[in-house]
Amino acid sequence: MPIDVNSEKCGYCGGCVVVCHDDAIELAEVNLIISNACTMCNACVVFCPVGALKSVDHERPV
Amino acid sequence: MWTMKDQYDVVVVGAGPGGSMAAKSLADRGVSVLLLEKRQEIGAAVRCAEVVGPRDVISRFIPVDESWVYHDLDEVWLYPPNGKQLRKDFPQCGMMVDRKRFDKALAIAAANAGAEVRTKTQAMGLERVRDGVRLTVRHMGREHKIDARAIVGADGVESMVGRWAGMKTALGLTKVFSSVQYQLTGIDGPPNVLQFYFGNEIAPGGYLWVFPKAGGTANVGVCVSPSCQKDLKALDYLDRFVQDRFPYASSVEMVMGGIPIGGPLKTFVSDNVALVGDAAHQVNPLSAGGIVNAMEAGILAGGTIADGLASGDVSERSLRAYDRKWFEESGNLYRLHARLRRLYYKLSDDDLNRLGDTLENLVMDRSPNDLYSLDFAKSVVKTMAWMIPKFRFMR
Repeated sequence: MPIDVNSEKCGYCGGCVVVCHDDAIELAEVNLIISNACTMCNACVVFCPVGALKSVDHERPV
Repeated sequence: MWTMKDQYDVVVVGAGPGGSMAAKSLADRGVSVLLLEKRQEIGAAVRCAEVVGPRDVISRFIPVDESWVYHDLDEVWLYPPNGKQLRKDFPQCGMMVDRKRFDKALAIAAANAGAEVRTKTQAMGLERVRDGVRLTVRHMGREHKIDARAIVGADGVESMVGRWAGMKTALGLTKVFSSVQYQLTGIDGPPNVLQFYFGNEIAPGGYLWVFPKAGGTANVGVCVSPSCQKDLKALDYLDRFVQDRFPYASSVEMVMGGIPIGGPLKTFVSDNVALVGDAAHQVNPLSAGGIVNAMEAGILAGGTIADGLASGDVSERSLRAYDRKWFEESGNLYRLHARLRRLYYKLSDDDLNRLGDTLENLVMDRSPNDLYSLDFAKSVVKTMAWMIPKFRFMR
């Protein structure tokens, strides 16, 4: 997943869903699902009121 | 599963105020309705500062019940960045309510009117079939297919119904507020006063509020524009304010949210589908309030769909009547308020202080209803053009 959800911070408000232009985020009750449609535009990361979303650098060797 | 049928005239997705009013107005017309809520409890978790319209407005939708009213609101205090307090009496300008109980009361009213209501039941997808739509829903880990002539998407800011129906609902960062709130204890002050704080260090692009609730508590929250915020998050702005003003308060609830303040979608409908409330971005672009708006839209959408079912046509063309009624009612005001919002983003703290100085004159003889008039919005734009040097071009 290109965006990391910190479930200890996320309040499941769903605001990130509306700023996603890739239709990559879905809020299933209290579970935020981010699909591979994500193009890492970072809009959700900037939006999140509590800083629960972070983009993950996949170039990094695991 | 207990009596959820596989066919209804209409399925309403989302049991907030907009969805419940849509379901109620459809059931009142004798339409078979299923009202779905994905959460296990209607009304929780709250995503709201819990101010709604005054008694006379709310009682148009549901009899006002003291069990969900904290108190009536009679006064507004505004604080521009210089901290100068501007007070304005607005008798009966709104009510503080318990949104958990309020939302549940509305859903109960829908059920009593004949709608079937189910919680912990999430809509998963939508396909168009002959004569309507087929909705996939999930309840307790099991999927069900439900056929309906029409779907009402009242599924909030995170609306999926609109996206499934092929409507463009995604918003840029200038068109959404990032918001967070605590219910704090130990807040002194009169219970019938709404307090608003403004400033680029306090709430860039938005505002901070202190709305009193029962027992010396208050909803203290902030909404900021992600396009104006610096390196800080909404929560950082709120924590800074709370640390500064209420360092000894306790927090008994935390609320987060995204508010679609960019103005309404261009259309709320497509074939067999209508959106209401936050899902349709029907939030007032200036105040960021959206509850009464959603309830009104729910009734408009419900009425239009009932008309369409009666005449055998719930196509986009038929449902456009809902668009027309809504825009006739609110289109011009929302356009003007969206313009004010865009101007507001550009104001420096000096500009805000200057505006504060004239605001007293501006609102002097206004009633709360006047504040939502076209005339008032125009006078604010005009005042800005004269007060704010960078808006000189608008004179």
